[in-house]
Amino acid sequence: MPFLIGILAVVVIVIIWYISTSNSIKVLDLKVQEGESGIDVALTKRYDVLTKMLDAVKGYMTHEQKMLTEIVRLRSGMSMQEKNMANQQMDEMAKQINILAENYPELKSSNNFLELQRSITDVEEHLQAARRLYNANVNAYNAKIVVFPNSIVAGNMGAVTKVYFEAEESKRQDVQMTF
Amino acid sequence: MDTMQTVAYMEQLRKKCNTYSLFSGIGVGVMMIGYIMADASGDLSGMLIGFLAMIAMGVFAVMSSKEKKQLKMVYKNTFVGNVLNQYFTNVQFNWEHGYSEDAVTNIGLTRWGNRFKSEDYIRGVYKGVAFSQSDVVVKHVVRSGKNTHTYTYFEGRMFEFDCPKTDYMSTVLFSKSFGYKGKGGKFNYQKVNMESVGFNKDFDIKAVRPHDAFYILTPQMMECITSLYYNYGNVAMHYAFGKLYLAINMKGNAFDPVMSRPIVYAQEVQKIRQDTEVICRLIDCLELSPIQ
Repeated sequence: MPFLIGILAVVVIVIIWYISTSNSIKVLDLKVQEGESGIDVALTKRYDVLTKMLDAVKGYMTHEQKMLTEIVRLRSGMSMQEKNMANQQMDEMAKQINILAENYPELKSSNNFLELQRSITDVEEHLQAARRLYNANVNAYNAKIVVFPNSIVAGNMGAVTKVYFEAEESKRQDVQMTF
Repeated sequence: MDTMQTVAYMEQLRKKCNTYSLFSGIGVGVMMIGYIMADASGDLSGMLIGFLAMIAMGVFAVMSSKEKKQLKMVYKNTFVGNVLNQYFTNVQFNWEHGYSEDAVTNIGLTRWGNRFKSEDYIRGVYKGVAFSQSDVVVKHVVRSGKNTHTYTYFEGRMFEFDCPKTDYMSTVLFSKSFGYKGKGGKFNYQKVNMESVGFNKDFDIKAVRPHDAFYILTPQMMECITSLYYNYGNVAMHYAFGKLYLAINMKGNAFDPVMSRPIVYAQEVQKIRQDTEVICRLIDCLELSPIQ
Protein backbone atom coordinates (compact mmCIF):
# COMPACT_ATOMS: atom_id res chain seq x y z
CA MET A 1 0.00 0.00 0.00
CA PRO A 2 2.67 2.59 0.91
CA PHE A 3 4.44 1.61 -2.27
CA LEU A 4 1.34 2.40 -4.29
CA ILE A 5 0.91 5.71 -2.53
CA GLY A 6 4.54 6.53 -3.30
CA ILE A 7 4.07 5.74 -6.97
CA LEU A 8 0.90 7.83 -7.08
CA ALA A 9 2.69 10.77 -5.44
CA VAL A 10 5.50 10.63 -8.02
CA VAL A 11 3.00 10.51 -10.87
CA VAL A 12 1.10 13.49 -9.49
CA ILE A 13 4.34 15.45 -9.07
CA VAL A 14 5.39 14.68 -12.64
CA ILE A 15 1.98 15.71 -13.97
CA ILE A 16 2.08 18.97 -12.03
CA TRP A 17 5.63 19.63 -13.25
CA TYR A 18 4.61 18.89 -16.84
CA ILE A 19 1.62 21.24 -16.71
CA SER A 20 3.62 23.99 -15.02
CA THR A 21 6.47 23.73 -17.53
CA SER A 22 4.05 23.68 -20.43
CA ASN A 23 2.31 26.78 -19.11
CA SER A 24 5.54 28.65 -18.55
CA ILE A 25 6.65 27.85 -22.14
CA LYS A 26 3.33 29.21 -23.41
CA VAL A 27 3.70 32.37 -21.30
CA LEU A 28 7.21 32.93 -22.65
CA ASP A 29 5.91 32.36 -26.17
CA LEU A 30 3.27 35.02 -25.59
CA LYS A 31 5.96 37.43 -24.42
CA VAL A 32 7.94 36.75 -27.60
CA GLN A 33 4.83 37.47 -29.68
CA GLU A 34 4.27 40.67 -27.73
CA GLY A 35 7.87 41.64 -28.41
CA GLU A 36 7.42 40.86 -32.09
CA SER A 37 4.38 43.10 -32.31
CA GLY A 38 6.47 45.85 -30.72
CA ILE A 39 8.98 45.44 -33.55
CA ASP A 40 6.16 45.63 -36.10
CA VAL A 41 4.93 48.89 -34.60
CA ALA A 42 8.45 50.37 -34.56
CA LEU A 43 9.19 49.24 -38.13
CA THR A 44 5.93 50.72 -39.37
CA LYS A 45 6.70 54.04 -37.68
CA ARG A 46 10.18 54.03 -39.20
CA TYR A 47 8.77 53.24 -42.60
CA ASP A 48 6.29 56.14 -42.29
CA VAL A 49 8.93 58.68 -41.28
CA LEU A 50 11.37 57.50 -43.95
CA THR A 51 8.61 57.83 -46.56
CA LYS A 52 8.09 61.42 -45.48
CA MET A 53 11.84 62.08 -45.60
CA LEU A 54 12.01 60.58 -49.03
CA ASP A 55 9.25 62.92 -50.22
CA ALA A 56 11.16 65.86 -48.75
CA VAL A 57 14.37 65.01 -50.66
CA LYS A 58 12.96 63.65 -53.94
CA GLY A 59 13.56 66.86 -55.80
CA TYR A 60 17.26 66.67 -55.04
CA MET A 61 17.82 63.06 -56.05
CA THR A 62 19.48 61.70 -59.16
CA HIS A 63 18.02 58.72 -60.96
CA GLU A 64 20.66 56.40 -59.46
CA GLN A 65 19.86 57.57 -55.98
CA LYS A 66 16.15 56.99 -56.60
CA MET A 67 16.99 53.40 -57.50
CA LEU A 68 18.86 52.93 -54.25
CA THR A 69 15.94 54.17 -52.21
CA GLU A 70 13.24 51.88 -53.50
CA ILE A 71 10.85 51.68 -50.62
CA VAL A 72 10.45 48.30 -49.03
CA ARG A 73 6.81 47.43 -48.67
CA LEU A 74 5.93 46.22 -45.20
CA ARG A 75 3.13 43.70 -45.07
CA SER A 76 1.50 41.69 -42.34
CA GLY A 77 2.69 38.15 -41.67
CA MET A 78 6.33 38.79 -42.55
CA SER A 79 8.80 36.34 -40.97
CA MET A 80 11.53 37.63 -38.69
CA GLN A 81 14.12 37.13 -41.43
CA GLU A 82 12.01 39.22 -43.80
CA LYS A 83 11.64 41.93 -41.16
CA ASN A 84 15.42 41.87 -40.64
CA MET A 85 15.91 42.37 -44.37
CA ALA A 86 13.33 45.15 -44.55
CA ASN A 87 15.03 46.90 -41.63
CA GLN A 88 18.43 46.63 -43.29
CA GLN A 89 17.03 48.10 -46.48
CA MET A 90 15.55 50.97 -44.48
CA ASP A 91 19.01 51.50 -42.96
CA GLU A 92 20.46 51.84 -46.45
CA MET A 93 17.69 54.24 -47.42
CA ALA A 94 18.30 56.39 -44.35
CA LYS A 95 22.02 56.46 -45.11
CA GLN A 96 21.41 57.58 -48.70
CA ILE A 97 19.08 60.34 -47.52
CA ASN A 98 21.66 61.62 -45.05
CA ILE A 99 24.42 61.56 -47.68
CA LEU A 100 22.16 63.53 -50.00
CA ALA A 101 21.34 66.08 -47.31
CA GLU A 102 25.06 66.65 -46.67
CA ASN A 103 25.41 67.88 -50.26
CA TYR A 104 22.51 70.34 -50.08
CA PRO A 105 22.87 72.73 -47.11
CA GLU A 106 19.51 74.40 -47.80
CA LEU A 107 17.80 71.02 -47.53
CA LYS A 108 19.76 70.06 -44.43
CA SER A 109 18.85 73.28 -42.62
CA SER A 110 15.16 73.35 -43.57
CA ASN A 111 12.77 73.12 -40.61
CA ASN A 112 10.81 70.29 -42.16
CA PHE A 113 13.93 68.17 -42.68
CA LEU A 114 15.26 68.92 -39.19
CA GLU A 115 11.93 67.90 -37.68
CA LEU A 116 11.98 64.67 -39.69
CA GLN A 117 15.55 63.96 -38.54
CA ARG A 118 14.49 64.33 -34.93
CA SER A 119 11.54 62.01 -35.57
CA ILE A 120 13.72 59.40 -37.24
CA THR A 121 16.17 59.47 -34.32
CA ASP A 122 13.35 58.91 -31.85
CA VAL A 123 11.80 56.20 -34.01
CA GLU A 124 15.15 54.40 -34.32
CA GLU A 125 15.60 54.51 -30.55
CA HIS A 126 12.19 52.91 -30.15
CA LEU A 127 13.13 50.28 -32.73
CA GLN A 128 16.32 49.51 -30.79
CA ALA A 129 14.25 49.15 -27.62
CA ALA A 130 11.76 46.87 -29.36
CA ARG A 131 14.61 44.78 -30.75
CA ARG A 132 16.26 44.43 -27.34
CA LEU A 133 12.99 43.52 -25.64
CA TYR A 134 12.16 40.98 -28.33
CA ASN A 135 15.65 39.44 -28.19
CA ALA A 136 15.55 39.29 -24.36
CA ASN A 137 12.21 37.44 -24.55
CA VAL A 138 13.51 35.11 -27.29
CA ASN A 139 16.57 34.42 -25.17
CA ALA A 140 14.42 33.48 -22.17
CA TYR A 141 12.18 31.30 -24.35
CA ASN A 142 15.06 29.51 -26.09
CA ALA A 143 16.86 28.98 -22.77
CA LYS A 144 13.67 27.46 -21.32
CA ILE A 145 13.01 24.98 -24.11
CA VAL A 146 16.53 23.69 -24.81
CA VAL A 147 17.45 22.57 -21.30
CA PHE A 148 16.64 19.10 -20.08
CA PRO A 149 14.03 18.05 -18.90
CA ASN A 150 12.04 21.03 -20.25
CA SER A 151 13.12 19.96 -23.74
CA ILE A 152 10.86 16.89 -23.39
CA VAL A 153 7.81 19.07 -22.78
CA ALA A 154 8.88 21.50 -25.52
CA GLY A 155 9.30 18.63 -27.96
CA ASN A 156 5.81 17.36 -27.23
CA MET A 157 4.40 20.87 -27.72
CA GLY A 158 6.26 21.30 -31.01
CA ALA A 159 8.13 24.32 -29.58
CA VAL A 160 11.25 25.26 -31.52
CA THR A 161 13.90 27.90 -30.92
CA LYS A 162 13.07 31.32 -32.29
CA VAL A 163 15.11 33.66 -34.42
CA TYR A 164 16.60 36.86 -33.05
CA PHE A 165 16.06 40.24 -34.62
CA GLU A 166 19.58 41.04 -35.69
CA ALA A 167 21.51 44.29 -35.21
CA GLU A 168 22.39 46.14 -38.40
CA GLU A 169 25.38 44.55 -40.13
CA SER A 170 27.21 47.87 -40.46
CA LYS A 171 26.96 48.51 -36.73
CA ARG A 172 28.46 45.11 -35.98
CA GLN A 173 31.57 45.77 -38.03
CA ASP A 174 34.61 47.34 -36.41
CA VAL A 175 34.70 51.10 -36.68
CA GLN A 176 37.14 52.18 -39.38
CA MET A 177 39.35 54.98 -38.09
CA THR A 178 40.79 57.25 -40.75
CA PHE A 179 43.17 60.13 -40.05
CA MET B 1 33.20 91.19 7.45
CA ASP B 2 35.66 89.88 4.86
CA THR B 3 35.98 86.21 3.96
CA MET B 4 38.79 85.39 6.38
CA GLN B 5 36.96 87.05 9.25
CA THR B 6 33.85 85.08 8.33
CA VAL B 7 35.82 81.84 8.31
CA ALA B 8 37.26 82.69 11.75
CA TYR B 9 33.74 83.43 13.00
CA MET B 10 32.47 80.09 11.63
CA GLU B 11 35.35 78.27 13.31
CA GLN B 12 34.38 79.95 16.58
CA LEU B 13 30.77 78.80 16.13
CA ARG B 14 31.92 75.25 15.35
CA LYS B 15 34.01 75.10 18.51
CA LYS B 16 31.19 76.49 20.64
CA CYS B 17 28.75 73.99 19.13
CA ASN B 18 31.11 71.09 19.83
CA THR B 19 31.78 72.33 23.37
CA TYR B 20 28.08 72.61 24.18
CA SER B 21 27.53 69.16 22.68
CA LEU B 22 30.30 67.80 24.87
CA PHE B 23 28.77 69.37 28.00
CA SER B 24 25.40 68.03 26.97
CA GLY B 25 26.94 64.56 26.66
CA ILE B 26 28.56 64.91 30.08
CA GLY B 27 25.17 65.95 31.44
CA VAL B 28 23.68 62.73 30.11
CA GLY B 29 26.41 60.75 31.85
CA VAL B 30 25.97 62.57 35.18
CA MET B 31 22.21 62.21 34.92
CA MET B 32 22.50 58.45 34.45
CA ILE B 33 24.97 58.13 37.34
CA GLY B 34 22.67 60.19 39.56
CA TYR B 35 19.65 58.02 38.79
CA ILE B 36 21.66 54.83 39.28
CA MET B 37 22.87 56.16 42.67
CA ALA B 38 19.31 57.07 43.64
CA ASP B 39 18.09 53.67 42.55
CA ALA B 40 20.84 51.80 44.38
CA SER B 41 20.93 53.72 47.67
CA GLY B 42 17.43 55.17 47.72
CA ASP B 43 19.10 58.52 48.41
CA LEU B 44 17.24 61.56 47.10
CA SER B 45 20.47 63.48 46.49
CA GLY B 46 21.23 61.14 43.60
CA MET B 47 17.84 61.99 42.14
CA LEU B 48 18.50 65.71 42.57
CA ILE B 49 21.90 65.42 40.84
CA GLY B 50 20.29 63.48 38.04
CA PHE B 51 17.54 66.07 37.66
CA LEU B 52 19.94 69.00 37.58
CA ALA B 53 22.15 67.18 35.11
CA MET B 54 19.09 66.59 32.92
CA ILE B 55 18.30 70.30 32.92
CA ALA B 56 21.93 71.13 32.12
CA MET B 57 21.91 68.57 29.32
CA GLY B 58 18.79 70.17 27.85
CA VAL B 59 20.17 73.68 28.08
CA PHE B 60 23.50 72.74 26.47
CA ALA B 61 21.70 70.74 23.75
CA VAL B 62 19.57 73.79 22.88
CA MET B 63 22.62 76.06 22.87
CA SER B 64 24.54 73.63 20.69
CA SER B 65 21.63 73.41 18.27
CA LYS B 66 21.39 77.21 18.09
CA GLU B 67 25.12 77.57 17.36
CA LYS B 68 24.93 74.83 14.73
CA LYS B 69 22.01 76.53 13.00
CA GLN B 70 23.88 79.84 12.96
CA LEU B 71 26.99 78.09 11.65
CA LYS B 72 25.03 76.38 8.89
CA MET B 73 23.45 79.67 7.82
CA VAL B 74 26.76 81.53 7.64
CA TYR B 75 28.53 78.55 6.03
CA LYS B 76 25.98 78.11 3.29
CA ASN B 77 25.65 81.82 2.57
CA THR B 78 29.43 82.15 2.36
CA PHE B 79 30.40 79.07 0.37
CA VAL B 80 27.52 77.34 -1.31
CA GLY B 81 25.85 80.13 -3.26
CA ASN B 82 29.11 81.28 -4.88
CA VAL B 83 30.13 77.80 -5.96
CA LEU B 84 26.68 77.00 -7.37
CA ASN B 85 26.74 80.14 -9.49
CA GLN B 86 30.09 79.05 -10.97
CA TYR B 87 28.61 75.80 -12.26
CA PHE B 88 24.97 76.58 -13.03
CA THR B 89 22.71 79.31 -14.35
CA ASN B 90 19.36 80.52 -12.98
CA VAL B 91 20.36 79.28 -9.54
CA GLN B 92 17.90 79.30 -6.64
CA PHE B 93 19.22 78.06 -3.33
CA ASN B 94 17.30 77.73 -0.07
CA TRP B 95 19.26 75.95 2.62
CA GLU B 96 16.46 75.85 5.20
CA HIS B 97 13.87 74.14 3.02
CA GLY B 98 13.88 71.23 0.62
CA TYR B 99 11.30 69.08 -1.13
CA SER B 100 7.91 68.93 0.55
CA GLU B 101 6.54 65.69 1.93
CA ASP B 102 4.03 65.56 -0.92
CA ALA B 103 6.80 65.97 -3.50
CA VAL B 104 8.86 63.16 -1.96
CA THR B 105 5.78 60.93 -1.81
CA ASN B 106 5.07 61.58 -5.50
CA ILE B 107 8.67 60.82 -6.42
CA GLY B 108 7.97 57.39 -4.92
CA LEU B 109 11.52 56.33 -4.18
CA THR B 110 11.36 55.81 -0.43
CA ARG B 111 9.18 54.13 2.11
CA TRP B 112 7.28 56.64 4.21
CA GLY B 113 8.00 57.13 7.92
CA ASN B 114 6.88 59.45 10.69
CA ARG B 115 9.94 61.70 10.71
CA PHE B 116 10.77 63.82 7.70
CA LYS B 117 13.40 66.46 7.11
CA SER B 118 14.48 68.14 3.91
CA GLU B 119 16.85 71.03 3.28
CA ASP B 120 19.34 72.47 0.79
CA TYR B 121 16.90 73.00 -2.06
CA ILE B 122 18.81 73.88 -5.23
CA ARG B 123 17.27 74.70 -8.56
CA GLY B 124 19.29 75.54 -11.63
CA VAL B 125 20.28 74.82 -15.20
CA TYR B 126 23.39 72.94 -16.31
CA LYS B 127 24.22 72.63 -20.03
CA GLY B 128 20.61 73.56 -20.80
CA VAL B 129 19.19 70.85 -18.53
CA ALA B 130 16.90 72.11 -15.76
CA PHE B 131 17.23 70.32 -12.44
CA SER B 132 16.47 70.55 -8.75
CA GLN B 133 17.84 68.69 -5.78
CA SER B 134 17.37 68.43 -2.04
CA ASP B 135 18.78 66.60 0.97
CA VAL B 136 16.08 64.31 2.35
CA VAL B 137 15.88 62.24 5.52
CA VAL B 138 12.99 59.89 6.19
CA LYS B 139 12.88 57.95 9.45
CA HIS B 140 10.40 55.90 11.36
CA VAL B 141 10.43 56.04 15.15
CA VAL B 142 8.71 53.24 17.02
CA ARG B 143 8.19 53.39 20.76
CA SER B 144 7.37 50.23 22.61
CA GLY B 145 7.33 50.59 26.35
CA LYS B 146 10.69 51.89 27.46
CA ASN B 147 12.40 51.14 24.16
CA THR B 148 12.60 53.41 21.15
CA HIS B 149 13.70 52.14 17.76
CA THR B 150 14.55 54.44 14.91
CA TYR B 151 14.57 53.07 11.39
CA THR B 152 16.21 55.23 8.75
CA TYR B 153 14.42 54.61 5.50
CA PHE B 154 16.29 57.17 3.47
CA GLU B 155 19.12 59.60 4.16
CA GLY B 156 20.68 61.19 1.12
CA ARG B 157 19.97 63.34 -1.89
CA MET B 158 17.05 63.40 -4.26
CA PHE B 159 17.15 64.95 -7.69
CA GLU B 160 14.68 65.91 -10.37
CA PHE B 161 15.81 66.41 -13.98
CA ASP B 162 14.01 67.30 -17.16
CA CYS B 163 14.20 64.27 -19.40
CA PRO B 164 14.52 64.68 -23.19
CA LYS B 165 12.69 61.39 -23.77
CA THR B 166 9.00 61.87 -23.11
CA ASP B 167 7.26 59.00 -24.84
CA TYR B 168 7.23 56.54 -21.93
CA MET B 169 5.14 55.45 -18.99
CA SER B 170 6.32 55.06 -15.42
CA THR B 171 9.51 53.01 -15.08
CA VAL B 172 11.40 52.46 -11.83
CA LEU B 173 14.78 51.04 -10.93
CA PHE B 174 16.13 50.21 -7.48
CA SER B 175 19.51 48.81 -6.51
CA LYS B 176 18.88 45.51 -4.74
CA SER B 177 20.21 46.75 -1.37
CA PHE B 178 18.30 50.06 -1.50
CA GLY B 179 15.87 48.69 1.07
CA TYR B 180 12.76 49.63 -0.86
CA LYS B 181 11.31 48.18 -4.02
CA GLY B 182 8.64 50.70 -4.82
CA LYS B 183 4.93 50.53 -4.38
CA GLY B 184 2.67 50.08 -7.38
CA GLY B 185 -0.15 52.27 -6.25
CA LYS B 186 -2.03 53.42 -9.34
CA PHE B 187 0.64 51.89 -11.64
CA ASN B 188 0.49 48.25 -12.69
CA TYR B 189 4.20 47.43 -12.90
CA GLN B 190 5.75 44.43 -14.60
CA LYS B 191 9.17 43.13 -13.66
CA VAL B 192 11.70 43.56 -16.47
CA ASN B 193 14.93 41.60 -16.98
CA MET B 194 17.51 43.41 -19.11
CA GLU B 195 20.03 41.62 -21.33
CA SER B 196 22.84 42.05 -18.85
CA VAL B 197 22.91 39.35 -16.16
CA GLY B 198 25.18 41.52 -14.01
CA PHE B 199 22.80 44.47 -14.21
CA ASN B 200 19.81 42.28 -13.29
CA LYS B 201 21.81 40.97 -10.34
CA ASP B 202 22.40 44.48 -8.96
CA PHE B 203 19.10 46.16 -9.83
CA ASP B 204 15.34 45.56 -9.81
CA ILE B 205 13.61 47.13 -12.78
CA LYS B 206 9.86 47.51 -13.15
CA ALA B 207 7.83 49.23 -15.83
CA VAL B 208 4.23 49.74 -16.80
CA ARG B 209 5.36 48.87 -20.34
CA PRO B 210 8.50 46.67 -20.58
CA HIS B 211 9.34 48.37 -23.88
CA ASP B 212 9.89 51.65 -22.00
CA ALA B 213 12.54 50.07 -19.77
CA PHE B 214 14.57 49.14 -22.86
CA TYR B 215 13.86 52.55 -24.45
CA ILE B 216 15.18 54.44 -21.43
CA LEU B 217 17.89 52.06 -20.22
CA THR B 218 20.26 52.01 -23.17
CA PRO B 219 23.52 50.04 -22.72
CA GLN B 220 25.37 53.32 -22.04
CA MET B 221 22.75 54.29 -19.47
CA MET B 222 23.07 50.93 -17.72
CA GLU B 223 26.83 51.40 -17.57
CA CYS B 224 26.36 54.86 -16.07
CA ILE B 225 23.87 53.64 -13.46
CA THR B 226 26.24 50.83 -12.48
CA SER B 227 29.08 53.33 -12.01
CA LEU B 228 26.82 55.61 -9.92
CA TYR B 229 25.94 52.64 -7.73
CA TYR B 230 29.58 51.68 -7.16
CA ASN B 231 30.73 55.29 -6.61
CA TYR B 232 27.94 56.72 -4.49
CA GLY B 233 26.01 53.86 -2.98
CA ASN B 234 22.43 52.73 -3.30
CA VAL B 235 20.59 54.28 -6.20
CA ALA B 236 16.94 54.45 -7.22
CA MET B 237 15.38 56.08 -10.26
CA HIS B 238 11.87 56.83 -11.41
CA TYR B 239 11.08 57.96 -14.95
CA ALA B 240 7.64 59.49 -15.24
CA PHE B 241 5.81 62.50 -16.65
CA GLY B 242 8.77 63.71 -18.70
CA LYS B 243 11.04 63.78 -15.65
CA LEU B 244 13.77 61.68 -14.18
CA TYR B 245 13.74 61.40 -10.39
CA LEU B 246 16.83 60.00 -8.79
CA ALA B 247 17.62 59.15 -5.18
CA ILE B 248 21.06 58.33 -3.85
CA ASN B 249 21.12 56.89 -0.37
CA MET B 250 24.45 58.43 0.61
CA LYS B 251 25.00 58.98 4.29
CA GLY B 252 26.39 62.36 5.30
CA ASN B 253 24.93 65.74 4.42
CA ALA B 254 25.92 67.51 1.27
CA PHE B 255 26.67 71.23 1.54
CA ASP B 256 27.05 71.03 5.34
CA PRO B 257 30.11 71.84 7.43
CA VAL B 258 31.97 68.89 8.88
CA MET B 259 31.81 69.45 12.62
CA SER B 260 34.74 67.21 13.46
CA ARG B 261 37.40 69.21 11.60
CA PRO B 262 38.48 72.87 11.57
CA ILE B 263 36.95 75.11 8.95
CA VAL B 264 39.59 75.94 6.36
CA TYR B 265 38.51 78.08 3.43
CA ALA B 266 40.14 76.10 0.60
CA GLN B 267 39.06 72.78 2.05
CA GLU B 268 35.44 73.85 2.42
CA VAL B 269 35.29 75.25 -1.11
CA GLN B 270 36.72 71.94 -2.38
CA LYS B 271 34.05 70.01 -0.46
CA ILE B 272 31.24 72.16 -1.82
CA ARG B 273 32.64 71.75 -5.34
CA GLN B 274 32.61 67.96 -4.91
CA ASP B 275 29.01 68.05 -3.68
CA THR B 276 28.08 70.27 -6.63
CA GLU B 277 29.92 68.19 -9.20
CA VAL B 278 27.71 65.21 -8.31
CA ILE B 279 24.90 67.06 -10.09
CA CYS B 280 27.09 67.76 -13.13
CA ARG B 281 28.26 64.17 -13.27
CA LEU B 282 24.69 62.88 -13.13
CA ILE B 283 23.54 65.09 -15.99
CA ASP B 284 26.57 64.19 -18.13
CA CYS B 285 26.37 60.48 -17.38
CA LEU B 286 22.63 59.98 -17.73
CA GLU B 287 22.43 61.27 -21.32
CA LEU B 288 20.29 64.21 -20.27
CA SER B 289 20.12 66.96 -22.86
CA PRO B 290 18.08 70.13 -23.25
CA ILE B 291 14.48 69.56 -24.16
CA GLN B 292 13.87 70.64 -27.79
